[in-house]
Amino acid sequence: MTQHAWIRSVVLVAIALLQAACRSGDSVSDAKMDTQMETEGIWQSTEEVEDSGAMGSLSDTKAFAVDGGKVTMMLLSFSKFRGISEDNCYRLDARWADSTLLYRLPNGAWEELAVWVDGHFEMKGSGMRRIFSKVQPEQVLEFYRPILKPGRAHYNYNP
Amino acid sequence: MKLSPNNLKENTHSGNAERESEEKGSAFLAPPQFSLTAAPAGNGDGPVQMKEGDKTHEGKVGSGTVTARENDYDPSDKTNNNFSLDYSGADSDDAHWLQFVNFTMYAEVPGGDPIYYTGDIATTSGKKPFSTDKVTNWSVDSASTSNPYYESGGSNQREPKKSTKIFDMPGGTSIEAFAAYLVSSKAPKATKVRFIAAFDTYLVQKDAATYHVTWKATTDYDPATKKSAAIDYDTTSGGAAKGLPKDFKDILDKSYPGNKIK
Repeated sequence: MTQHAWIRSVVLVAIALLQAACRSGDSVSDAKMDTQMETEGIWQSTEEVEDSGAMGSLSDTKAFAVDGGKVTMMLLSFSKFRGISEDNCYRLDARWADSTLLYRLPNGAWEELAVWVDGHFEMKGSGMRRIFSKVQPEQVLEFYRPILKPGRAHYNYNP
Repeated sequence: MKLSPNNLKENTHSGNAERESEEKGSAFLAPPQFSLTAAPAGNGDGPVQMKEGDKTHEGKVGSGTVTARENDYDPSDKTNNNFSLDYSGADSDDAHWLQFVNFTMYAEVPGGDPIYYTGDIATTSGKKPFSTDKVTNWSVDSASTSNPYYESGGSNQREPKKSTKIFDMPGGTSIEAFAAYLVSSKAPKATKVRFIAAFDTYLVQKDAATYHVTWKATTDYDPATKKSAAIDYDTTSGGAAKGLPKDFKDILDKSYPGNKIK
């Protein structure tokens, strides 16, 4: 093999490896995007089953909305804190930790909301497993209707 | 004496609650860039009379005075149905308010036992457990994860070298949705839902609890009209303190490790 042919082979192999790496990156990125799209929507508890392994306490949250990387949910405020919402509903930062969706409280702390399992969200605690299904706006329980309010501003963490 | 915004030297509704920047997971999407128009925590839409509330407790501590008022005026949002605690004294710059809270909600059903809201509820300060007739769950009432004092994010007014005052308005219309939920999920025959927020609020001077006032705020909700009544305050006691009781100190240390409050 001439030196020219050898360099050409090396370059072709390098290009092939680069293309493969890009394709792999695309598929990971696509998968993430697909999951993200799948998680967006209005989620409401449709079933609760006993789960003896569910440790800790189960939150009372039975509906929430995910859109644009934010979570909209009901939070009670017992005191006269800065930025409290008149209807107890907040559009908050959200973040993933593996398959767990976290939301950022008005006080800045991150808290677990639900776990993504086989195409739906679940919450566990108090010996129970709460299963959420994606629902249409008209199916949302009255208590949680504020999460449907259009144009709700993102909570301002740094007023 | 009528208060007006002009005779208030400083009114800091928002404190400087430090924000946790720790990241528990991978970034999801863009960081916050929007703003929220905070709603006043008032109970009504009509004009508000600027007046001091009824003085329900007063006590001397060190070189200053602690005063509790019910239905007091908060200049930050111009509401006059607040519970306030004020410490006035030349050493007020070293004074802070540390508030412990527990809350109960139950539905009254004719001919039956009260039906309690149990378990944890998602609050603006994280998941917190309700108290019931069988268990009392105290927690620190702060809007900050790193600063336990009420004024870190709660409504307050501080006049350097004169006074430090906090305002609270727990309950009222803010509990209506939760009361309605209790009725619909557990007590469809309820004739009334009662929400009680109970507080033990400590004056902390130079890191030591020196005085405390216990008080309650009760809100009744009518399932028929789906409306809540005005908050009913009750100043139950007050007096000197020689540090925090051990159970409160344990709660404080668990939530705010490394604090120096005694």
